[in-house]
Amino acid sequence: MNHLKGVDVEIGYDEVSLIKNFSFEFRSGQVIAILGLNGSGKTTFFKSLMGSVDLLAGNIFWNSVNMKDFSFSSRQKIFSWLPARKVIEEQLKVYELLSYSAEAVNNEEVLKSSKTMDLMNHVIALMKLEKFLEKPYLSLSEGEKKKVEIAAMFMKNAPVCLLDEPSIFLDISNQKEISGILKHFAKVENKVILFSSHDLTLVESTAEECWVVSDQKVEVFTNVQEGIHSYTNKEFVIS
Amino acid sequence: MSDIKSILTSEKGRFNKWMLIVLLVLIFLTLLELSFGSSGLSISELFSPTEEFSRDVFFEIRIPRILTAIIIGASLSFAGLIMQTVFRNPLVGPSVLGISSAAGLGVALVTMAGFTSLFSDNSTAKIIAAIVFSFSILILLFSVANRFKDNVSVLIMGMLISYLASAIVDILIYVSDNESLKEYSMWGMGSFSRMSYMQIGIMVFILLVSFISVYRDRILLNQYLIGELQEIAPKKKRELVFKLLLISGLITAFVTAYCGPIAFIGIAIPNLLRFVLGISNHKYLLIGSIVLGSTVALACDLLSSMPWSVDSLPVNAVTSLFGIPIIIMLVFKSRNKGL
Repeated sequence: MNHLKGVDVEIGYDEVSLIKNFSFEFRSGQVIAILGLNGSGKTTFFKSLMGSVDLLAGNIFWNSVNMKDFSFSSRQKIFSWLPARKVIEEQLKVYELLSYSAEAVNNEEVLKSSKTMDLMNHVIALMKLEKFLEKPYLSLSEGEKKKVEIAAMFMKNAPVCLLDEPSIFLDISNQKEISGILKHFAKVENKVILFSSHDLTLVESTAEECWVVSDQKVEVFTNVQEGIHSYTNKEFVIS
Repeated sequence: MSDIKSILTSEKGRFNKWMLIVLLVLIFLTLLELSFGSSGLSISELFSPTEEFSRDVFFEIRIPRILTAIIIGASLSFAGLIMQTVFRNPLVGPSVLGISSAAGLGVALVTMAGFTSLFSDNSTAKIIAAIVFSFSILILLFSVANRFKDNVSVLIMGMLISYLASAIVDILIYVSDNESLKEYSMWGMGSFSRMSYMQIGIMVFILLVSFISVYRDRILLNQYLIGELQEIAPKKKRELVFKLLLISGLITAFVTAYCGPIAFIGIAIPNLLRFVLGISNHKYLLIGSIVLGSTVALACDLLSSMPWSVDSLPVNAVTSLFGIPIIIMLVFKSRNKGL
């Protein structure tokens, strides 16, 4: 059972602090949604976890070890990350995209590792991507692209998955599918799923805990309905 | 066929098959050029003890020329491939950093502004000038590279350097006499028959070291293609881009100094390779660019040396005739895909 804990964390860039005094904790099997306005610090929070943005204060512990001492490659083994918009060379075929993502885990070619190959086939079957494998990424619809990107993220088999706006561009049926997939990876494959979204239906149907970011603070709701209610009824100051 | 293993295995098989074919063509072309050089000498004559002169032609002219074509073709298409990866653009080549233009400016100063007298020998003067100028530009680019926000600024910078260099060259052309003008434009047409064994050795060393260093990063390069480094490891991405630009700049500087600006090989070969193989994995592309690059350069050299005639055509004319159709094909191909 993996477990990540933050103590009095402050995140932001240089002089601009986005979230202050935030303590949090999550463990394998949880699906957590983060709600907040654009620019409130959701994405920066993800980047701070991964270490690509330094913490302004506080500490984060992975299974009780302070992550300050973690190297880039050990962090890469813990987190996988799906940005809202990914810059992908468009001529790539889907299987290339997926196998390059899988290669990243152990820095090993896919053909040389039967373990990686099994994982790839497993995720491909689970997400029903067989018919897309040899198509160019460019030729897919927006929804199919997103599914392929999510699959690429799971190819890394990291215990913590961070997703920024996973349902952007998706129609209702794709949304349901994504929701099912995220829940499956948390419950069956024992991963932590942490996603940010402006899509309240996805949050409601998928998350079991919800964090609301506003005014540099994060409120944690174990009842998702309450969290959504609090978020939608907030009076946001438009500056 | 939807199993990932079978797809990847067939990709590997396709690569091996094509590489075998290209290598056989390379061997065939080498033998062809060995036996039909411009002096019309055949291999059998070489082994008769009376042919002192023929042996000189063979070892001092023909073999260095073949080796030059092979190593230059390999270097340029390798440098072109890594530039195309860095800029995610199939239409850039090794010359985009402005380094070959800078080398051209150096040579223009030597041939047309009369700096030749500083050196005992004219061709050494050109090489030294080309290396000094291209290295100055390379150092200049890298000393300000930290201030660039993104890769596109590097491209713009390279373009501006090229324009600046050609503006100065234009002034020199305007004031220079016919003889030095001809010498400069001959240099600009490129040639595979200027390199000594020593220079070929230097080039082989540079390519070998760069190739090993880039090939070790092949998995990282693939991740670069899928945007994996962008957010997770911005520092690592920066280091990688720096290294690739430096290697490509270094190769371009030496190639231009030794052979003049060789056109289109660097842009066309990586595209031809992707088109024929349908592969974008750097494990294959890096090796393929070396093999296909040297083969095509040798073929161009063979055509330019025109075995049926005493004269030989400028290499650049032949490489352009070969490269331009490939680029046109590429433009149409990407149009069809709805870009």
